[in-house]
Amino acid sequence: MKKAAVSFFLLVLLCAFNLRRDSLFPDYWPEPRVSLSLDSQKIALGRFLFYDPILSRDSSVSCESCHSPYSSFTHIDHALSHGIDNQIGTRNAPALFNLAWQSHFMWDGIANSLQEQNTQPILNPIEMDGDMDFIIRKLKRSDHYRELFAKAFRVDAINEAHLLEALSEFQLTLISANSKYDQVMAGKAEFNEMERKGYEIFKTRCNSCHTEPLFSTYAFANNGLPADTALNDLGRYSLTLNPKDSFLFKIPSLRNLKYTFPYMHDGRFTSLYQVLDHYQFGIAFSTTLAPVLKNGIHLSSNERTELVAFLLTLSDEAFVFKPEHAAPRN
Amino acid sequence: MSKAWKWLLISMLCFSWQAQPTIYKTELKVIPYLGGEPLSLKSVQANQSLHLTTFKLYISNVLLFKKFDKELAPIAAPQLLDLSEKNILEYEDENMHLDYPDSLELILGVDSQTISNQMFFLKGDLDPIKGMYWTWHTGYVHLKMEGQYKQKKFELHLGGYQGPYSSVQSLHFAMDKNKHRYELRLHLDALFQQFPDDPFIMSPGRESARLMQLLAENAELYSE
Repeated sequence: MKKAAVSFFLLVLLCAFNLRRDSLFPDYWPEPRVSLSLDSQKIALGRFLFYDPILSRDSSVSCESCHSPYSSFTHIDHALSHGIDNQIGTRNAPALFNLAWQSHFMWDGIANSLQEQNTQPILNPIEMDGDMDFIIRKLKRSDHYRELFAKAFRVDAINEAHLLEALSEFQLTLISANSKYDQVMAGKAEFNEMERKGYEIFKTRCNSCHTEPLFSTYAFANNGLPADTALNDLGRYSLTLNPKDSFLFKIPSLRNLKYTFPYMHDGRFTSLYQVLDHYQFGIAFSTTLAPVLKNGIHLSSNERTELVAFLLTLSDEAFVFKPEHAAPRN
Repeated sequence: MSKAWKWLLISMLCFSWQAQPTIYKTELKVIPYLGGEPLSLKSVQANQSLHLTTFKLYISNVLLFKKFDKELAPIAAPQLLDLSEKNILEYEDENMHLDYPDSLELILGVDSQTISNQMFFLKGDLDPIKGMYWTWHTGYVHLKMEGQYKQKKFELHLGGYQGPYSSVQSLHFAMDKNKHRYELRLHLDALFQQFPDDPFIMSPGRESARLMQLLAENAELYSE
């Protein structure tokens, strides 16, 4: 009897685990690098903080200013991020999704954890130019935030560590796993002929860096972009000072490309066809160029169309318009 | 059928045709102008001092009125005039099917009421993929102009509906009772003559409101 009860308990636990896992991401995905056992109160607090310009010096810029949910948590239509006092940054804001599967953040990987990453834009003088003591004082003056922090972390809880943790918890909920590609993989939909051909091209020409199912290895690579002499951005080299890291940038996921234009770390391309033109005709050779790109990626006109058709199956509209991701209402 | 019956039938048809009230569809075109010419990205590129790469402007809450502010038309969906796609916004759908309205109202930009209208928010031309959605508390960019002016790069993203620097501009025009074809001409000359010292405007503020006001002040309703 006791054995049966224990077995039943384990079965219930297993079912619960599977149910939870299935609801967050598909079973053909790898395990995330950080736990997705998240706290709903911390998520709620993090969501308010993410959308609140209170985190910037003059309360004019929020995380959402550069990471709008409707563009898959990046900005669209301008190449470089816009910051406080109308300043323009030096890089295209990266899209925020599937962060639990990543170990380095930002284009050059300067942050090794999501919490560490959160401090970067808040303190950066051309992004939010925040001062953590000042922010904490502002939050402590708010009845609303006193209540939210108390619910998430118990009493007397407004401090930098909790602020960063709450922001991270909210961002870890940003899981994009419901594109047409995912539906096809789950056997719930089928590619059309053009998408299927595009998928075959993708698997032979793109998958080594933009590996399924996350569509990135999240490693760093030089994809042969000619250096922009105005920005003079050396990528990961600026962090490591290792010449082997010159012009290396984090490989972005190809999910949600429909929403995340312009493309590349400096937003130089506004369409997917411009990106394909680069890989076919525009690669700048250097000692750090990714070996797989040494001969470029040559595609016929039909193949380009087919590849783009497939890439657009990675658009996750449900993610982009998910109400739980949108700005909260007081 | 006798001849008399035929004549009677023809007469009745003529009478019924004459009895039908003639309802003209009001046609409205929105056209930005510079130097007295309709603006297009191509034509501006010929002007050496200005190289315009982006021009996007929202027009919303287009309303036709007749007789002492009695509203006659439903609100048309907000439209985006994107010069990379078209040079003119045209309103000639059922919303404009009115019998000689007295006045026209519209908004340059997108106000908070439109954003809170679930019929329009995030749909059609308000789809964020158009690149004009800003943030949750400032709404949409009303006017986005980018390019080079006098050999200096500029990016003007004018928007925001909250005080003290709301840049939403309401326009009201009387209409001619004998006309039904109209052009709203938005003259940009004053805006370039009073160009901001800081040519990068990315957030709501005094300059954003000033430039949108200049655009509104130089709007003209022209009827054919």
